[in-house]
Amino acid sequence: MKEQHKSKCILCSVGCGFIIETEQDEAVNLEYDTNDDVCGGSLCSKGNFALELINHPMRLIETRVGVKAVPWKDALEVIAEKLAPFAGTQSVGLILGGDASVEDVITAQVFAKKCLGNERVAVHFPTGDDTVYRALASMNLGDRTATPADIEKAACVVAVGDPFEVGPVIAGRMLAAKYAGRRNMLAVVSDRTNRTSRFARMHLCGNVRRTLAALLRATAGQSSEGPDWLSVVREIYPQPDNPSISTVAKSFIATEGAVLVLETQDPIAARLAGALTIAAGKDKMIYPVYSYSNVGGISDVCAVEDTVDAMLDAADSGAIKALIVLGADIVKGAPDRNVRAILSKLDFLAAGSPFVNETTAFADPVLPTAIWMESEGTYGGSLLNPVIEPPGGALSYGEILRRLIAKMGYEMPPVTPELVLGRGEFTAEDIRQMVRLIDEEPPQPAVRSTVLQSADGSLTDHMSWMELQGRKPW
Amino acid sequence: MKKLFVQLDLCIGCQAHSLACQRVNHGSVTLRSSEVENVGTLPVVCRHCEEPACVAACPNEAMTRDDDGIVRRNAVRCTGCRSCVLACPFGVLSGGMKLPLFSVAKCNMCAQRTAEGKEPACVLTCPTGAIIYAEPEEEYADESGMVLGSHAAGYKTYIRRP
Repeated sequence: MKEQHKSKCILCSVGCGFIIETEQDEAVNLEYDTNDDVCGGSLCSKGNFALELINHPMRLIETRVGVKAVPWKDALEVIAEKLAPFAGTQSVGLILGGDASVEDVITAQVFAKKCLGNERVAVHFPTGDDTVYRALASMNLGDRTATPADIEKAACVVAVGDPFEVGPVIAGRMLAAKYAGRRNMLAVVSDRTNRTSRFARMHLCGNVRRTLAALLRATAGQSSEGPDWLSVVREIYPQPDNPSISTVAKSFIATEGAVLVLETQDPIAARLAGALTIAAGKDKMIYPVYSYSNVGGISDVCAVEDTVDAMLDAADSGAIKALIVLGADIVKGAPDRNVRAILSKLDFLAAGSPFVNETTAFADPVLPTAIWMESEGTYGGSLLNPVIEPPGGALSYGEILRRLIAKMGYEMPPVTPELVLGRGEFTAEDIRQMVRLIDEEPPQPAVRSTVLQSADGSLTDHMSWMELQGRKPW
Repeated sequence: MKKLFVQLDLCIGCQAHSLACQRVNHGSVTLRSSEVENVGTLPVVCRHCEEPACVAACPNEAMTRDDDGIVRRNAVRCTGCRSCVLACPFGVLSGGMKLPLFSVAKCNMCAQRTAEGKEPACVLTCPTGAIIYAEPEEEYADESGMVLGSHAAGYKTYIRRP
């Protein structure tokens, strides 16, 4: 008899729902949830393979120390023993994967503070979504965040970047909005022709920062009321002479409930987009699309802004001597650095992952961890329940750290998320600073971890990097 | 009989249909994607022709058109000669490298799912609703009776040209 369990995809910020069918403690089928509010049953290529993540042949199923399979207790004892000499020396790093739940990140910070005596905790977001989230969070746009239903109703949608590529399910809502009326606007701001721009009524192609600044200036010129900093915008930005910019700005201001769909890795562009939403009127909304579902939750509770890059630098210089990596494949996740050489300098590297990967190949001990469908946790603002038992007694990142805290003789305090947001207002000084930054070189786009299908039918995220390098993976 | 239609102006080329098809068909992609230069990647669905060229071309009678109008492949009879791949005027059938030898991927409109009252996987998974599973409401035929296109409820005309 098949049992049905509802769950949610966390592989991008759209958060599509689906149903996992289980039979005798085995996940046997994935079914489309046609009653889901977000996607109505649709799934992109990533969501379609959620079942394969549970039943993947490369799942780690045993705790290993050296070449021996050992029980959890022994493996955690080895880790606690090895970490004890480093306590209080600021030389132990902890890296979590972007698929961590809010509870996992809070526990990681408690573990770092209590057991290791430092604040070296980083969450691995290969696409830099966390910087964009922080940039938007500092602007206090919370009440302007749109839902997928809002996008469908909007007669004017301005897309920045390529949201069709990162969250294809949201494309259905955007196209429904475009085709709902003959005069409906879908404008795309991007630096190249992409999947979204092919459907645009107006494609503002060029430097994204400058285009958004021009749109902001045109909006400030056309709207009579608004916040104080609009006068600064009128003063220091030149009036754009491109009629397309004025048309899009006019449509964005005039349309009630217009939505700006934002997909970018550039925090300056994100702040400009946020400023544009505020400047255009009180009823305008913004819908950021991220490559991970839980970017917001993690960034809200992560009190320290340490990055994986900074941690690798510290490991390279010898400042970090021991590293615990849970869920992140940092070797594959930073292909532009020689991570293998850096990891070989460490005295101790423990890695936990749901799958065999290149980081676990370097680590000792190796711990099997659960994926989001196998453990309880908060993702994207909603609590997800486990749909199935993890294979081989795998534990969630948070549970591993809780047991380690107990092993090292401490008691885990009750989890109370402390929201660490920006200062929550946007001032004229921000505009002046953005003018200085606008002509700077934008950050190089990070390698997007796209789930692709390899020749043997398994999933890989390695091809996109090779394609970026101009090398064909076949 | 319900048929699969593709609204090309809604297709964003995400190829989710191919992966959904592969998932429900245990690894073989029966709904292929075709790359169109400077346009994108579009799904290519089997038309389940009234006079299928693949059925006529098959030397072993592995391809049959059943009473329900679905053109099916009999895996036991198929020797993998791929005559049907050459014969198909739409380039829908494939004997790709991902499949084992002696087999050809063929869309059966998810007969195993429709028997349970579910829609085909490609239809449900499509993020934009570009693939439709609907009754053809009206068919357009030329003077010789050849069906050129058909029209499903509420959707645009999808022209089939041989």
